[in-house]
Amino acid sequence: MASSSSNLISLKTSDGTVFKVERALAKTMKTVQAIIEEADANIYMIPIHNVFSHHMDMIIDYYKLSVAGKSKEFSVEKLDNDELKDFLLAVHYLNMEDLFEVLTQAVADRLEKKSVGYVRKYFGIENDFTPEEYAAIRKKNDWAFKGDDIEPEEDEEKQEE
Amino acid sequence: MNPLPPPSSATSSSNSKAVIDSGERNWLDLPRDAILSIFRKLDTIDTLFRVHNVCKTWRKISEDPFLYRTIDMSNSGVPDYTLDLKTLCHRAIDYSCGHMIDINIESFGTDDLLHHVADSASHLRRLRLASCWGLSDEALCEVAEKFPHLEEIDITICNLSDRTLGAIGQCCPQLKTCKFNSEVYRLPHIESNDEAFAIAKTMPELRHLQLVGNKMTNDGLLAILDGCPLLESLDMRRCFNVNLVGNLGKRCQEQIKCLRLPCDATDDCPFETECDDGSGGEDYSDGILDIDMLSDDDYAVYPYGYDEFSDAEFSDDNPYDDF
Repeated sequence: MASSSSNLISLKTSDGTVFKVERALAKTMKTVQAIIEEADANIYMIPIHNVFSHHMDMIIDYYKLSVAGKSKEFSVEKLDNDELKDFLLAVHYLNMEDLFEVLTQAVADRLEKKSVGYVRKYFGIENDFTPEEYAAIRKKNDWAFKGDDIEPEEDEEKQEE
Repeated sequence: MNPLPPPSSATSSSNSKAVIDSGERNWLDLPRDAILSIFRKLDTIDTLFRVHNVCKTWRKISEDPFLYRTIDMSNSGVPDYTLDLKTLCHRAIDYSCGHMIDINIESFGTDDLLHHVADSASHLRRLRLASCWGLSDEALCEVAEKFPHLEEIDITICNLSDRTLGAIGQCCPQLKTCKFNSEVYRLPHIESNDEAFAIAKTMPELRHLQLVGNKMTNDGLLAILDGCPLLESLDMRRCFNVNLVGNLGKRCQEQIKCLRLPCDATDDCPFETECDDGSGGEDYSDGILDIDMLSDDDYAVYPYGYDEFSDAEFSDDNPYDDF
């Protein structure tokens, strides 16, 4: 708990769990690093907002794999889109470059080749174009995306599996 | 090193959702730089245009010129006839707002499009044109002077000649890499050093040269060795008229760090290098080209002519619906 063992940093997640992590891992979190550097004396516990214990579990998994040179084995496949998004937000907050790149790539892979309707549905995004804007998009894109679905209603039907 | 095991109740994601859900959270909560980072990793330009149509926020972010610094419109895999690639490319160029530095156009390039590139991208550093039968020497010669910062030119299996090479060589003093790859064939037997001489004459700063399938002879090769003293790598695969026995071969080995010889393997070429043995007559412009060299034989091959896309019937099915 006390940082007398100066190799470990205590991080407290939003759900109240305390993780003692290696200094080297804490260093990959630029946000945490900045807090440590700004503190005058030893800091006992660093709260990390928006980060939950299940995020920390994954962060630690990733860290262990990268230390062993196996970062490519890290996978977020089992996360659904919302979970992936929350994890990405946590990693973004902590400002962890490498893991951020991994997660944004994972999202990009999930978006790849998917139709507009699919993206909206699967990512829970509302179409907020006005009817006029929509008509303009349709007109502008009609010849770029021959046959592409612009209307969500068509998509939803097509995606019934 | 090991963290304290978290209390079991805190780890289920449904618990965390209950804690954080104060109102609807969706992907639009992601900060702009995160979304930009995601969009930057999208593999294909058409996907970029799809996210463009998802909602206002994504539209705005997907128009960021940063996303269009590199425009890669190569066809990796099966070409998609439901996309009007030329229009997409045109629009991508517009979105780049002059910041484009790298563009790769396969098959649908035309003189008009090239002019548009030239008018929009004065800082272009890399230009690749592959299987663009709609491009002419005239157009290339006209636009060459608009690319003073060009460092790499890749012209692969197009209907262009030494005139283009000469114009580029003269107008692009920063050029370090030149690729000029041709259709590979043995018959009819043709020898020509026009391209080699053009390169030797106008590209003294060249470091990397790729001339797969070129018809040059030893004279052309010698001219290149003399005219491009800084050359570090030279790819002469399928240059059947070059004979490296003797002093010329020795000189190549000494002068060039990375040498690829006429009969070396071409597995890593992203374009067709199989030799048409001439049994089909002399009409090589049938040019059945399999863009992805690594695809297996089951792939249908698509003939590329410059009017193919505008004439094709577009289906109404969205090919990306199956997931």
